[in-house]
Amino acid sequence: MKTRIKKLIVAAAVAAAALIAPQWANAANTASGTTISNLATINYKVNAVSQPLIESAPGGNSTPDAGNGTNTTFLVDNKVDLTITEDDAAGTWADTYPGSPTQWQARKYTVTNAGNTTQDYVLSAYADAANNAAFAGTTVALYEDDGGSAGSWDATDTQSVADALTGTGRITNVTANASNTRTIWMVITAPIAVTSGMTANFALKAKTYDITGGPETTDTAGADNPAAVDVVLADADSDVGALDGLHDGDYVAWDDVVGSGGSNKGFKVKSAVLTITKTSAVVWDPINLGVNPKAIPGAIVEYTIAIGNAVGAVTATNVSISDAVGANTTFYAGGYDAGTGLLGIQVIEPDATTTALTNSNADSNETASGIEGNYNAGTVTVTDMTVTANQTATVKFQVTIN
Amino acid sequence: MRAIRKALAVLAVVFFAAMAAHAEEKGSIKLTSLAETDTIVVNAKGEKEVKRVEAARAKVVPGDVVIYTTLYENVGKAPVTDAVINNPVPEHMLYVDNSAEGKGTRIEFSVDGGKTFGATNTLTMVDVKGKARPARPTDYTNIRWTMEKAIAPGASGGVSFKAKIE
Repeated sequence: MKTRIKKLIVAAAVAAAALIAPQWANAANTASGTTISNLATINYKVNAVSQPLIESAPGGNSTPDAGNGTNTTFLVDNKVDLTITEDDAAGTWADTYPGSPTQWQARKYTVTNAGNTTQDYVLSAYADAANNAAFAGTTVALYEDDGGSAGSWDATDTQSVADALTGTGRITNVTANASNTRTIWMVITAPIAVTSGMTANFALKAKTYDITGGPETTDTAGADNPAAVDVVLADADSDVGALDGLHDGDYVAWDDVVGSGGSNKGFKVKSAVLTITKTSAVVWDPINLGVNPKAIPGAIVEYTIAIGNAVGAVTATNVSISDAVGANTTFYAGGYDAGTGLLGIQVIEPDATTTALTNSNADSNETASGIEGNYNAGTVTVTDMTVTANQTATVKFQVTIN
Repeated sequence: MRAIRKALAVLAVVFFAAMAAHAEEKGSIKLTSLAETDTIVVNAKGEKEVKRVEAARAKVVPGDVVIYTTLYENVGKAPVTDAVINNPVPEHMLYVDNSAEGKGTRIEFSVDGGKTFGATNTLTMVDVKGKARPARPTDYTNIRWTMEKAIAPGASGGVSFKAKIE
């Protein structure tokens, strides 16, 4: 009775599975370690009398009746297959700032286990040989998305590796289920030497490893072990170069095409684009005074230094300039008379506020917004200017001709 | 009278049961099921050749095709007639179109677990909306080979089909 109930339950389970099966049949691979069984039966007559059925056996069976046959079975082995897709469309760039560790944008990759066994993947990154040399020394950090704030890289995502160019990260227990993909974010810290508009291209590579901290998953050499799950590496050759080969358990995805340095997507440096111009004008001489003054000894010459930032550029902060006063001239401390404690430097801030520097104490000559100017040992310096995109900061000072 | 008839009926049942019990010892057919797969091996000359090996002794993964062969042999002393071989398509496997073979047999398929059989162009399935559609080879649940001729004592043969691992 017990066995009959059990049998009924099994039959019900099989029926349920059969109902469910078509929905995932095309999506999921048969899991490794599954035993696939086959049993054929024959019905026949002898002397026109029906005989009891005979079930098959791997080595042949002629004992009649159900239950006397033996299943012909085999074990499904481990098919190692994986893909990485880069999810950012062509023509989209992740901003990166020269040397900045904070203002990153991330590029998104999806790692999919396309095999039939739960695996770990060890991640590493490669720089495109075609990248601008200024990117040498870039660090490439990888983060595994934690599912929070879906579809975006955020502070709660787990850093898998700080620099995937020199080290590796590991994502664990990735099941062979198309709905359980892993999102990997790549962010770079480019050296200070990169300049606005430069692009760079990095590859993300995944290598298949056994779960629970196991070693690299390798093809089982030699003949099949009928009793064990053997490994068959079945992954594609994902690149045109030597980073990945056919059936090696590896997969490589580039932001762009290998050798492009990021021709239509990847990382693009966004920076301030500053231009500096210096002009001079004679504003006074002892003879003509302010009317058509000429550059004669005793005349006052005004220098104008303009620092502009390009349209669409990043705000430049802590901008400073320094200018040595030329030979045969003398810095003229009385040039501008606004404020107290006059100093001969005027700053026209990007928002067009004109401010003479005030001399509030001996070594801090500041505007109201904190721009600091100094004249010391023949050199004019102005520091702590902020220049936003499409604006210009102007520094003026005057000298007299000796 | 009725009691006697009943007793006779019981006797008859006992008699046939005894016959069946006798038959259980050995049937007239020896049935062998093989699961094999074609693997590419490099021979002594360095050439690639296809070698058919037991699936249990080969590395088989999803997407691979397994060739199921059922061998029959008349091990009895009398000719066997009306022989019908039935093979369900194993779980986790999909029947490969046009792969069923069997010399001198009529091959039919089932899409309902072997309750009914028919030729490929007669089978229908019901789609998710409840509408009938032609059955696809991957819908087949069972394959049936009906022998057109008697199997003489000592004679043997085989039928086969291919299925792909999901």
